Amino acid sequence: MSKSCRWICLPTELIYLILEELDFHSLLRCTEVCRGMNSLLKDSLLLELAAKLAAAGMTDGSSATYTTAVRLDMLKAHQDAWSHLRWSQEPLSYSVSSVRLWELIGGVLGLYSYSPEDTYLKLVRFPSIHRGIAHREWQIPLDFKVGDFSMDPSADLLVAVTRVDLLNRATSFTVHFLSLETGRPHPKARQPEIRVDTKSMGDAWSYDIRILDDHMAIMFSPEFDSDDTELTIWNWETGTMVKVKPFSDDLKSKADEGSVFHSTFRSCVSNESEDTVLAEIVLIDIHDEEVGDGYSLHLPSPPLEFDIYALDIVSESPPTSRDWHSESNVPFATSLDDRLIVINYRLLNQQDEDVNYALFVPLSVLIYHFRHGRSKEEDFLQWNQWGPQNTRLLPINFSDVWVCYVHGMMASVYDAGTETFRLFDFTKLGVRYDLEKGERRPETVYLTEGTVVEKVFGKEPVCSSMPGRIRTGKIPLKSVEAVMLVEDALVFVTRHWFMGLRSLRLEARIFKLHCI
Amino acid sequence: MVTLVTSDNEKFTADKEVAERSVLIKNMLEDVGESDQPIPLPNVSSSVLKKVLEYCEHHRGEPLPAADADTTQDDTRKRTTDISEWDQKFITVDQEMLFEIILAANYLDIKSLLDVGCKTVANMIKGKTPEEIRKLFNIVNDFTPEEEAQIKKENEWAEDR
Repeated sequence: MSKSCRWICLPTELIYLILEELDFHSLLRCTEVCRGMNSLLKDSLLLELAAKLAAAGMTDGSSATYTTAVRLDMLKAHQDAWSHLRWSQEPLSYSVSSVRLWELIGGVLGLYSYSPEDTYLKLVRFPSIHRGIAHREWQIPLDFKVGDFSMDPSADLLVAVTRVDLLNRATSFTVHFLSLETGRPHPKARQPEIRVDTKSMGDAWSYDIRILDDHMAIMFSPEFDSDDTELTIWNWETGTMVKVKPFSDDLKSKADEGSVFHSTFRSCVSNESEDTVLAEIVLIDIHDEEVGDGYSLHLPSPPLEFDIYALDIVSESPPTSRDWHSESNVPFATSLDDRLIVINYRLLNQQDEDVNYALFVPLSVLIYHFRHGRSKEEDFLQWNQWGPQNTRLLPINFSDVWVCYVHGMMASVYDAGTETFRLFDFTKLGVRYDLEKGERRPETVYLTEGTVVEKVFGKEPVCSSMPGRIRTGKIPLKSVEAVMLVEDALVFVTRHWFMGLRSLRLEARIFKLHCI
Repeated sequence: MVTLVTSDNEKFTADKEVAERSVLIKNMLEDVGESDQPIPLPNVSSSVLKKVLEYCEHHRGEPLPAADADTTQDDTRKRTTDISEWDQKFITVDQEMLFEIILAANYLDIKSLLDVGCKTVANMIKGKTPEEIRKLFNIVNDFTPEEEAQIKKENEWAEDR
């Protein structure tokens, strides 16, 4: 090898090995370096795969199992199935009439059933033809009554909360860390159960459980005394408590709270509302004691004459932990770089009419302002300083049924009383790709102009302009109540009447490419 | 012990276990059977082999990639996580040596070393502008201004804005 022989003179197959390690943006830079590298990349599938992954909001998966060409084909088929809403001919169907709680996380559906004789969690791994995932069902018996649960299939983790009732004492809880496969104590958890004591005597509680990597947060809210709401964060592997955040006295029962984890910052997002009806998202760095009350991003706030029935923050738990994608054998998976947060406004106006809106916010926007805002003097940012460019506020009627309807940068909404549902997709590069490189998807409306909402959130109209696309689809079933969303399936919740008893069913429509 | 002869005719001796981290050497030893014959490595110079053996010595005893894994197809390589601290220090060499190590690792078929080398080059590229990449690798910009504008336009959709 002579001295002048450098990078571009390596054999092509070795250059490929190097390029394979690059992210999409670095690959783009490489196409701009010289003719040699440009044609090398244009002739390879690497650039095409990287571009399609970015447009799909996906991250590359296992190159051990699938070649670049195969991954590209699988991705195209996966995107095509979503774009045309092609699903498999045989849906999976589950009666949930005896199911007390359900969760849908990382492609796994958990159904919790309780009776004095038989308490168990049934688990369903939804199959994916495009990602080589097999359909699997299993069941784990439980010897305690579950108040709520959550799971991280990538870490084989099931978190279950049980209430400990002691006479004349404030309520306590036990948090169990179990293996999702076996139901036995999780081998990585040093303490398989943790006891949590609260200040409240309330006997109706709601919970919000979030898992991210080795951290886990639970918000305990007594339903009739939300002053006592507490957010506790643990490292579930070591069993150490990271932070307790009691919510301020201003927190009124009208508002609900949500919490969201983000890995880089490990921050918590919640929302509070006061008498003056200031809706805000509060970001807390859980590893920083100094932050105190956190950093607040103001949201459009309804005026006092509206009755706030609910103000919810909805987001998925991250589908998987950070190191999951490189370990698993899927060809690609939803990118963890960003996630969609949906803030639901359920309002009643003075005529007692429902006025429902959804504000779509990418988590990356919250994190950006949190990072840049914390060094400033004020501990809040007004809506107009961050919201209009980066979010989208739309009128949406939500189902009353509890569903997991957010995944990645997408959300699914069933429009009550209609024959259709809508998929809201805010994958930034996906929208741009369709409009500038590829072609528009069928039955899809592209949100390119700003939206203006007048007369609901005070005197000033609320503008918002985050680009997005909305795919409308026909409901494939009768009596649909709601629709849930996962990576490879839509799950429809249907209502059935049987001998006067109302029961719900879940039906999963899994996307599949029709073979000709 | 195994004796290896480099392109510049220098002789190296190494433990069989260490030398056999190279699949090429392992196969050659299997082919010649029990013999003290030195193994010629005409594509590797002494300065590079010294580095390679240092690497193999450090990683001695670690499990090798499964033999039944498809070793011919480059893009079916298992992606590993980040470069370990020792490897990082080891691979902190001038650019010419870095490319020589990559070539040697490829020729000698030492997957983990090839991986470390490729990842290191990739890390050098990440986050850099085209001009910085050219400067880094002594590449001449041979685009016409029109071509350059055209490529920038093609990439426009994916840029942060």
